[in-house]
Amino acid sequence: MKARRLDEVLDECLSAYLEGRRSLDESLSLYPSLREELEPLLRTAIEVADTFGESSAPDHIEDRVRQEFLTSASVRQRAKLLTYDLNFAQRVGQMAGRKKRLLILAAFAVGLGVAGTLAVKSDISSESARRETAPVAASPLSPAVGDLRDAQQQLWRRANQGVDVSPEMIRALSRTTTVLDSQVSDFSALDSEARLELERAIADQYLLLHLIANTQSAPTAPEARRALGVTQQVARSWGIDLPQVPPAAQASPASPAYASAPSQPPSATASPSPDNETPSTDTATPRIEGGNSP
Amino acid sequence: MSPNSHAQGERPMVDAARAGDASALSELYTLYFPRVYRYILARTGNTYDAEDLAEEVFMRVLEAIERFQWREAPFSAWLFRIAHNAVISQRRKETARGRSSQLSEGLAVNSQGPDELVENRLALGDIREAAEKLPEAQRQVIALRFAAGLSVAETARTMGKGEGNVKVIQHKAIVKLREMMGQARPARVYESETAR
Repeated sequence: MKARRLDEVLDECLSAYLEGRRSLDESLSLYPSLREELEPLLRTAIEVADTFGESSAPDHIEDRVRQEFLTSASVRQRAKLLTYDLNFAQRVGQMAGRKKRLLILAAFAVGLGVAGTLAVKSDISSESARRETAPVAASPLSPAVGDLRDAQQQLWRRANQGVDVSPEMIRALSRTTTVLDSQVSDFSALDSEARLELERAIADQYLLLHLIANTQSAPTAPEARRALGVTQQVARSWGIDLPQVPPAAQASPASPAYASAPSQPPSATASPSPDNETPSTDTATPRIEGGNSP
Repeated sequence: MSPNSHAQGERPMVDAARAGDASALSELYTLYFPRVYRYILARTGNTYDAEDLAEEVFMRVLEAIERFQWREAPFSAWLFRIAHNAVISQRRKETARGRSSQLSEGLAVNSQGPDELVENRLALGDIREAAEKLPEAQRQVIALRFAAGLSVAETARTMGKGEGNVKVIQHKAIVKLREMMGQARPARVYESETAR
């Protein structure tokens, strides 16, 4: 049998010791012919490992960094959800814009048709005409939701970039929310798509305003709290549940929830798909530099 | 406890952390922060740098974890590449500023009395000083294997080398460390040779 190289035997004994599988003596007894060479090297390696192993960061440092790490993770998660939904809303808004033009054309066509029909058949009641035009008149929400999303997006960009948000921007958001609320006469009578769109918009706004209220200074923060009140009021009047605001940080859990099932982000809104893009930054594809072969 | 990570066992945790699960991120932090800290301390010899850089590493992890892919490397290898790059980056900044790294200043060791603290400072200082004289690859292997507690396989993936190569580098590093540490002070006496 070909003799094993010393570096392999050294590593095997070292790994066995570090993993608690064998003591130093047990390893040495397995390789009596190498003992003289092996023992001093193993003792040195164990001393190095033990010495490094004894050093640790002070508890308060470890706790502080944990807090910052988890807070940052929480903020990033909320930001990701918000960005996703705002992008989604932007697409919906663009579609709604096209839809609106089509609806105007359709209304014009229907109007012409109704007028023509009225001219020919004067016995057709005005009730029939209202029924004809009703679908067009009953779709005013998309522009208002688009305005709300625009206002949210502007706020989000500023908050995300660390730029001060002006109280006036918050007040404008509140006004847009109130206008939207006035257009929703009966939330439960809306179709499911419209309800979902409004629910998302209000839920995102609620999280956004929480973020601003907690990160901006006066007079913006108090204004954000007032806007939160408006948002909550609207949510109550529509009968929708607002998402729970995630805690800034979470301590080590007794039993990890992910062990049984992957958890979803804490939001009432849809979660984005995992990002599978190829890593492009130095952090995403870190490379060892200066690794010279001996 | 074995310092080596178990890549398969930690996969659900890492996947959950990638999805933003707070408890998984917390668990990940608990598992890796001490190892990252020890690795950086072994590389820099400075507790302040180790604290700052360990924090920086975890913030970078947060930025990049969504893009982590299992097919490229184990999570530990990926994480310690980030840590390595942070150390190198810090070293460049220090070089640019003309600051030399101070060994053993304020080394913090928890739950130790003054005698033990002094002894540990000396031991860590000696070892760090000796390791500093090794070629970069040997320094790297020593820090990854003995401070970060990576296996040979994980060390190899972190460094982009073969496992056989890592074993050779490790052997050479230990031989040199023994020579240097033997000159510096007598070998430590082991009261017990039982496995820890």
